[in-house]
Amino acid sequence: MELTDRAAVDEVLAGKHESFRVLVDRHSWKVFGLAYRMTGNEHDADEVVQETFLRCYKRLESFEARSSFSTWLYRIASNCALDLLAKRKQDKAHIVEHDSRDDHPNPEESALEYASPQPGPERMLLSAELRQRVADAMKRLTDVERTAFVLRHFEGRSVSEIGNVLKVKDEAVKNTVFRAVKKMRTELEPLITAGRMQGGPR
Amino acid sequence: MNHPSEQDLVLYFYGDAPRAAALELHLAECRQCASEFAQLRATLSAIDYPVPQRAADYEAQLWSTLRPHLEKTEAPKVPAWAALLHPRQWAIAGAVAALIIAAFLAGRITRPEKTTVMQVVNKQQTPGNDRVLMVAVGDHLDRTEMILVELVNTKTAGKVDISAERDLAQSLVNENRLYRQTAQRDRDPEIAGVLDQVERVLMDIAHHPDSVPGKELEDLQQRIESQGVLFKVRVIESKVRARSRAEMTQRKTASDAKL
Repeated sequence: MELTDRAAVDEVLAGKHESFRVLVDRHSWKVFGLAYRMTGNEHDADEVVQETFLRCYKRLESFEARSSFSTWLYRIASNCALDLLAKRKQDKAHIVEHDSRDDHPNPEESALEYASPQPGPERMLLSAELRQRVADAMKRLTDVERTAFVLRHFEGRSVSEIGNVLKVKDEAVKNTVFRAVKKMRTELEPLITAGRMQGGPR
Repeated sequence: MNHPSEQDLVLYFYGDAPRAAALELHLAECRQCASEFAQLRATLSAIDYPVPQRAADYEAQLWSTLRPHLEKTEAPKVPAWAALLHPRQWAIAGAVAALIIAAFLAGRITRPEKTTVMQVVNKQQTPGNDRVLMVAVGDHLDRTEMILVELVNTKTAGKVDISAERDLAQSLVNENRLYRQTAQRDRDPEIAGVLDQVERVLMDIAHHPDSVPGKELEDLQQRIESQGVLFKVRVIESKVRARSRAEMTQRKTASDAKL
């Protein structure tokens, strides 16, 4: 029978450290998705995934049975991503490297470079322009807004789970998600409306 | 019902509207709101940010990268005292601890002249209250640090939206006040002093409008940086965490001795 998350945690705490792999196998893809959408590039997302599981292992003793393991892990992952974003903002060398490599038209705005996702079959429906605009719009969100929006919009996490991640009350989460949505709408609505009027997905 | 606001419609889209049934009825009857919601739904539904594929053996690769690091890390263990508690009892213990904190803080602040709840708790020699409080203060400082880091790193060009940080600061002010007053009464001047400074900074942030001119934000950043608040928060946070760990170890030792 497959180990539940709780059972795997109990086994690790009881000394069977290989059982940690069950948790890595089960959650790493989801953590990568969250990290990628928060940081905007694969390299940083990989770094966040590794740091998340390391922190998770070190703090496993403090995991409490009353909360869901995935929520707890998401909280660690979000904090790792926020830490990395803060570090990147301070890292001038990183900015310069990204600006020159990506030939960004407005270097002032590229403190955090959101990579456009690589094309794949399921992404062909999205026009390159819309993809870039989504990436640009997400870049303009604050870190807190981006975290709340990614968790609610893409990851489908509940308001209370997001509150648990950001350590704020539900009302604050709702307000933050709303502000993020407003900014995203301002950036994207004209393009999407124009696309609909032309009668096709953008 | 009245016409829903844009925020009501956003909450409804994500399934978070408190009065969803009434809003649904309104949308069925009001063409203007229905049209507004249709536009919102079309936009939000089109927002996608696909995640790139990973290699088929991604998990295995990740494990082989992690494993050497984990081997170097001290292995986590079940705390001896925790092993005595069944998961359900954990939840009860957590609820009791929360009540103790609430009662402790409320007692300290609302009835300072009388016997406080904490004094009663101390007489009963209930272990672990300090640790629970330290964990709560540590989490509070963690949240405060998040806001300060974000504000200090925000670019000051043009008009800057700081409403997210402002709202978070507003939600932390009262909590901070309780912890500060508790630290003062416990004669812990170091923590009380930093929390006092943090409170002033949080109130400063909390009194700002949604957007501020770059110059105003720059002034705010300078006030935060010149006082070294962020550094002090980090130092106190690590001390609070260390104190919490020490308390935990003490309890573990006491529990082991009983066994």
